[in-house]
Amino acid sequence: MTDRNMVTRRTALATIGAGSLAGVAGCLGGSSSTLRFLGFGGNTQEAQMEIFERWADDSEYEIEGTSAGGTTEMISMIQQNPGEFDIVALNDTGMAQGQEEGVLEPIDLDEVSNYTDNIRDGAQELTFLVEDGETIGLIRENGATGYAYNTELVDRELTSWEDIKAEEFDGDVALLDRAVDRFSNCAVAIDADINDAADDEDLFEDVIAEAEAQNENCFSYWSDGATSIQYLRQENATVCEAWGGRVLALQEDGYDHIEYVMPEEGAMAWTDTLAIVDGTENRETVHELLNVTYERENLLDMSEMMNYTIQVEDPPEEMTDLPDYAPVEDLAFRDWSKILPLQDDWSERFQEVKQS
Amino acid sequence: MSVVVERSPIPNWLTERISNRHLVAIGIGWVTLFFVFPILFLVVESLNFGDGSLFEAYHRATGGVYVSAFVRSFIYGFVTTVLTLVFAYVLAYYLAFASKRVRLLLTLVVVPLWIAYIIRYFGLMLFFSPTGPLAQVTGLEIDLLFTSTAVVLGLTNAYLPFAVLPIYNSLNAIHHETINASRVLGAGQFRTIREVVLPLSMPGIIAAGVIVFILATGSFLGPAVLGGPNQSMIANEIARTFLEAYNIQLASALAVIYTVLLVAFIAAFNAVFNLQEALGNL
Repeated sequence: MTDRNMVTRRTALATIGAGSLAGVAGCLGGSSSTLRFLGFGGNTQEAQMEIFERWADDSEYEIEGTSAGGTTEMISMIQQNPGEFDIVALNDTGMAQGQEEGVLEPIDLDEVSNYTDNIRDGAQELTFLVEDGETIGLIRENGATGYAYNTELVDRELTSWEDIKAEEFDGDVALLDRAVDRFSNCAVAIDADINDAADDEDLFEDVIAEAEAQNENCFSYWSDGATSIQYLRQENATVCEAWGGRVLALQEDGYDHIEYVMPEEGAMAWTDTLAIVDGTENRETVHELLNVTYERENLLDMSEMMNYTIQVEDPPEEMTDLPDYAPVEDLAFRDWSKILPLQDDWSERFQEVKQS
Repeated sequence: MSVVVERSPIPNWLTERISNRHLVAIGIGWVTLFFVFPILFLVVESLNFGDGSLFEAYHRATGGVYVSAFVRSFIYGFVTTVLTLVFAYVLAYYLAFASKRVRLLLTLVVVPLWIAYIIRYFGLMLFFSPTGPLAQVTGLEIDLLFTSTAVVLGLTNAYLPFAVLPIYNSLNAIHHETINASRVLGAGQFRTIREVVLPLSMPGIIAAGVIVFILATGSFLGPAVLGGPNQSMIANEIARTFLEAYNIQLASALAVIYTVLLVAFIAAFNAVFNLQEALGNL
């Protein structure tokens, strides 16, 4: 990537951030006794705020939560409002992008001993959490993107990615509208690793062929989890690529005929991460807050509220029973140093697949 | 005999200080600030000052999926405009010449504009879903969603008020004596509509057509909510290029090309219909 491109992207991110400034300004007090958290919204944000509030109740601090629609918006908000955010929750894509844009600052793990004590070692060392030997992100929850189907409309058990290509689902399948995630699952479906496909042209073409095959039954691509659930509730989709936690919440709402499938070939893992925003004036307090967050009891409560796995040592049965539970050793994660530079080309290629 | 001169609603001190030049300057300033400058900014952002061609992004933007998106946008825009004008004309004609509850009906036309587009599109989606009210009440499952038809109908529904109001305005301005004269001179109802009402309401039709075409061609939410993978329009491509691929250069190039095409289309339309004359009569 050229310097010029970097400047251009920053300028444009700044433009979006400026648009968000007015909204943020209304929410943020700017008081040093307030910690500002930026997250994705939804039930993961609610669960996180619940834990933060426990700490805030016993401290002189208040916590204010703000949500944004996606990683680009979050990073631009941080860039445009220096010093206005202290903690951010980003997914693995966002962590890679955040590192590139320089909006995160290193975390002193000595001050967050609960993290090193309670989170599995393998999970602490994921590539997008570490930069130049320093930890810049703390893994929070993780999951995998499998699919769900309506058992009232399907009279057989679905178990694999192969199943969703059956003719009977013509026009009844909805898939995830993110090139990297989609290609990652297609790679898994053909027993390949997306990280290998990043530098193997033939393998990448095989991944594309699988994406085209899965696209044949697809009537729509969703870009946010709420839409995937809406498709399943309204029966727009018989089969829908989905996140396990969302489907579990749907089942708890009475839609127990919606079944979540972790395909037998596997599915690509994703993670959400907590990071400290570059330029925070509350660095010491933020470390204290993070340390409390990673107390075992708080981690288990968050996992239960979110319906996702947190990579704790000795996970309880409630967690291992989650539909997409897997210990970190069994999961494949993306190597963003390989994938981030290809994201633009892959996004365009994905559009061609969708319209094929 | 005394002559009453109506007082201008504008205070004297203001009329003395503001000339026509000032008014023109305000208009030009507004367009420059909110149209010309942003477009110039996009032009600069779209150029490649690093390695490779200066117009690298334009080369990419004029091929593959982007051409399809441009073509699709203009086709959807055109079809939506035609459909909207037909529905709007019938409704406006009824309002102008037949309705006894004009204010109530005009309010009903305007009320949807108070509701956010996304809610209106989601409303349509819920209505036509397999578990929606239409299927529940009639037992019919209409396979309409996530198709081009759904997108065009959604856009037509969303932009109908923008067409009804100017058409109603121009129909309402037609003197009833003109219509009566046509009938007295022997023209039937349809001939009167075709040769008297329609030509006289042309300024409203042209204004409505231009507004609806511009709005429909650049729509983002309509195809995003009601369309499938093959209904992506240029606004969706620009959003994806920026938000997913983080390619500002390409997104800017697409926006510049779209703006140039739209302005060229309006210019061609102006050459045929003389917009200034038509809209001046509105």
